[in-house]
Amino acid sequence: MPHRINAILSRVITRFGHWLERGVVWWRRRGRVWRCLGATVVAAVALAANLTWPNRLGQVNNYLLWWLLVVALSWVSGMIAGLWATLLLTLAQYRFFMVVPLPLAGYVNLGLFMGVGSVSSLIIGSRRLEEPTDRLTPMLHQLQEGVVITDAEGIIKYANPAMERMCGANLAGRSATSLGSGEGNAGADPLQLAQALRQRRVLTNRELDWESGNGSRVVALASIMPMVEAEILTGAVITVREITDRKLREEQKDQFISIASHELRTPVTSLKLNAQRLLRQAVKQGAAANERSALESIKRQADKLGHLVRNLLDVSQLESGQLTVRTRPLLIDEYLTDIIERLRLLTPRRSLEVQGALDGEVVADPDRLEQVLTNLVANAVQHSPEDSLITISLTPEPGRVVVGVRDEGEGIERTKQVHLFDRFYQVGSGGGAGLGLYIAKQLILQHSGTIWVSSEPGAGSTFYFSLPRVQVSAAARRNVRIKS
Amino acid sequence: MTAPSALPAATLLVIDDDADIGQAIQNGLELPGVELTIHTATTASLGLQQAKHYRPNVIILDLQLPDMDGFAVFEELRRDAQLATTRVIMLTAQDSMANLWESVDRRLDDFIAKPLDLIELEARVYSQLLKAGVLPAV
Repeated sequence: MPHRINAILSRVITRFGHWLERGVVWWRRRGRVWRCLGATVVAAVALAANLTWPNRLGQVNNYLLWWLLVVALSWVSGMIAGLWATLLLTLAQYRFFMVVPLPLAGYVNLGLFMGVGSVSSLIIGSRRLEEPTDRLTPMLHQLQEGVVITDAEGIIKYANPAMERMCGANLAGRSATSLGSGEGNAGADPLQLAQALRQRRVLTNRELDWESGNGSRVVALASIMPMVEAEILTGAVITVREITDRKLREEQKDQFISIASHELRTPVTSLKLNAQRLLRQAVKQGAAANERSALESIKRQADKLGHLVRNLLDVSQLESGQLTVRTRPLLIDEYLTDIIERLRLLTPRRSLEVQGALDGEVVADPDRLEQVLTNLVANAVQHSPEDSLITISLTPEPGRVVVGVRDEGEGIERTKQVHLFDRFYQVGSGGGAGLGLYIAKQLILQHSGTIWVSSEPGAGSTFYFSLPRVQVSAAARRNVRIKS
Repeated sequence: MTAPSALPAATLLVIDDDADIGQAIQNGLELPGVELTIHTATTASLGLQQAKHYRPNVIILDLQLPDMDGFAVFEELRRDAQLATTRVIMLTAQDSMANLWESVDRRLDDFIAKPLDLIELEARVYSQLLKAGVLPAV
């Protein structure tokens, strides 16, 4: 029987503790003004009780009771509200009006009461629930990754030394929404912390790029994990991994590609022009077959090089965000018929067939759209046998048009399909730099479209892309007519 | 070149800081049925001098020149009344579509991206000569 009572008691205590903690956490989430108002209400109730039952308890017990009230209020409400409660409760204890005609001993009492109340408020009220426990602190100090702990409003309660090193500043007390933003755009919240807290959503690997306090550039990946206790948001843990070196290397690589391809452009032009000229002369002068084939080979390779240089330039522009599309309304049917005629020249020893038809208008950059289609067809040619069929399918769908390019080639394994649109990714050793599909994807994304592949090994591949069909105003339609 | 010929004659000027490219165009560019004279210049100031001297029908103008921006050269050319009918083809870099569109906005006659293709360049020069009325329309 005593066991049962013990069990029930302990359950009640646990339950009570749980609810008390929830209440405290909830109360601490209120703003400072609300907490001070709450303390005022408690002090008012205490004053009323004191006026109603004066000296019901002995003087000492009375003091103890008031101190306990101050301590409890400080613990629940934090330092500022605790100090406010101390002041109000002191006045309530001495019933306001009695303060003036107090004897000397009364003033000593009053000073003692205020002193103890204030000290306990400062000590107890300044203790934060969100602070890491002492056992964790040394670990957080040792971590190479930055760790930030915030309260539910996103105010930084704790930042480990690695984090403060990255920011070159003392972070406690600052809003974490300013993490990762420059001096000029503080509060821009590049972390999207406010949103993560509101939605209680975990955010991972957000790239931040900021200037630290000592002027050096810092690039880092940040993750946010909101902390929820008993369904109440208590704050968030933000971990930050610095990737400045990696980022700088990547940028140097992109810059190198950009410079190299710029520098290659002129020699390649010279090579191409001269190869074409010599080949022409050789044909005119009836040069030997082997001489001609050597010149043809030079010209072919120079063309390939020129193509590669153009692709690399596109890639470096895509990477630096400089590649922009200039869209305008296009009558899709007329436009595609035009391109497909030109593509027939690109598909020697393959038959090119068109299935389906499209009508209406899309908003696109005509040059870039042609580049996408050319890349897909060139890809189909590269990966399919001679005398096979390449089919371009045109399918209208609600709100969009879908264009497909099907080949009768070797097909692509499922594991490789996910990487097809990655930069520099190649299937097999078919040649090429692995840029065509990457560029195609980036260009289609810039058109707010999507690109995907459907393929089975041995059964050929079909690459699809979609473009949103846009409602075009009458003015824009007139514009199309004028332009075409 | 000086021999009398029944063929229509046209004068071209290539302004490109790379002498190799100018030379390659000079030696390689051919138009069937046209007596072509091609001059080259490697700087903007030389190019402007030659343009005033030879009054070419078509100028192939590189955007990036050591002493002046290609667009500035174009403005300078357009200010000269004697060169008002000269057609200008801008050589632009493939990686700067903005330049390409600027060429359109500034009413340049045509533009072509590097690396060049001889046949493409010939076709564009031919089309400009047709538009300028140097060649009889077929």
